[in-house]
Amino acid sequence: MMNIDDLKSDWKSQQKPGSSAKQEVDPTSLLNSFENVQHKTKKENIILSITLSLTIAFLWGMVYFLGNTSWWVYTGVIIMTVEMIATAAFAWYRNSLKKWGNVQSDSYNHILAAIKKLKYRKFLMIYVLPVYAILLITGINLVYIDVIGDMSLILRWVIHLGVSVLMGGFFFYELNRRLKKERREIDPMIEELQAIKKGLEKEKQQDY
Amino acid sequence: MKSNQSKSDQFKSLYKNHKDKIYRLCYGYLHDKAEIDDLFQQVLLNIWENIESFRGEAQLSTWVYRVTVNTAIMYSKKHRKLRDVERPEVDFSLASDQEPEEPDSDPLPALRVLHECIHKLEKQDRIIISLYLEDLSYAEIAKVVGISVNYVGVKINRIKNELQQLMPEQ
Repeated sequence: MMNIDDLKSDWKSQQKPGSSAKQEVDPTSLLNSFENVQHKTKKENIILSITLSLTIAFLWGMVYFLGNTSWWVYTGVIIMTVEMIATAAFAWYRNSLKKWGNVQSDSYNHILAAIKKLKYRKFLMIYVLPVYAILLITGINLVYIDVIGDMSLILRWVIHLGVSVLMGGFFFYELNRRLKKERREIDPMIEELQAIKKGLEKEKQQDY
Repeated sequence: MKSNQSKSDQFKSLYKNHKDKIYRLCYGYLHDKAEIDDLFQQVLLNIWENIESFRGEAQLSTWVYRVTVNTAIMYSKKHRKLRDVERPEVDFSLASDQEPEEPDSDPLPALRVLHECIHKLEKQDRIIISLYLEDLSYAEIAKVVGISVNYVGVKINRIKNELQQLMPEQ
């Protein structure tokens, strides 16, 4: 019968492939690659932030140039501004390379935190994003109340309904697609983490 | 600039001293060669990102093991991260044209058998037995995994028994 303890020294003698001097990978190239990943993510976040800032500036510029704007417009623009700031903040958080900062904690706590984060992500997708979409559509419609206020009633209704249906349809399709994808990826992940957690806890209960 | 330099130096030194143990843990956790390389790179990325926050409260090797194990646990979800963003220019699979499937020094059939048996275990058990084979004490394993020293012992005895049963008679 093979003894596991006898294999310890053999186990520890195993080296990473390419560890011989001739094949050794230069860690500097690795570092460059990691820095490239980080720079690319930062660049994407900066571009998104600039785009959103320009949109906010455009909206408030519109408010300024329209003059005598009603509270409908103000409310609509404020809703959209808040949403855009939230989008930028979330993008920075989501793409932050330290989002799994608890990677240094012990595995049990890491698993607990990971399960919590995954469930939060699901909650975000199911509840927060639809509210976000509804608020955005509401904001745009509020601005339109004033902007197209001089048009005929029928035309105004057509524009309001058209914008709402188009945006609502787009959001519905996109959220549904993403939700399906997330469910496919997140649910098995949560199950797997819970199985590992349970595996550790099972022993814990038997121990005491 | 100085801080970046120091971070790079720290990383290079850590890479030099710990790459084999990181790879062994990845190899104990996963079976597929491409996935092992992917996980190995992901661990290095996590180490590089977090190296500045290592304050020395724990031993460096314990810290490295923790990052490795936690990255492995999250791997199935995150394994596409590097591919999605930008694949590092360094490809470990190209390190050698005739690279073996297993780590470099694996001439022993017994080790191959052991690996095969380890891969049949539950994921948490693969981690614990790999740490045990790394010669970590029960207390160190407890620190990495986050369970008590007592049931690290219970767990290891069970895993050993399971492995004995899985291993073919010689």
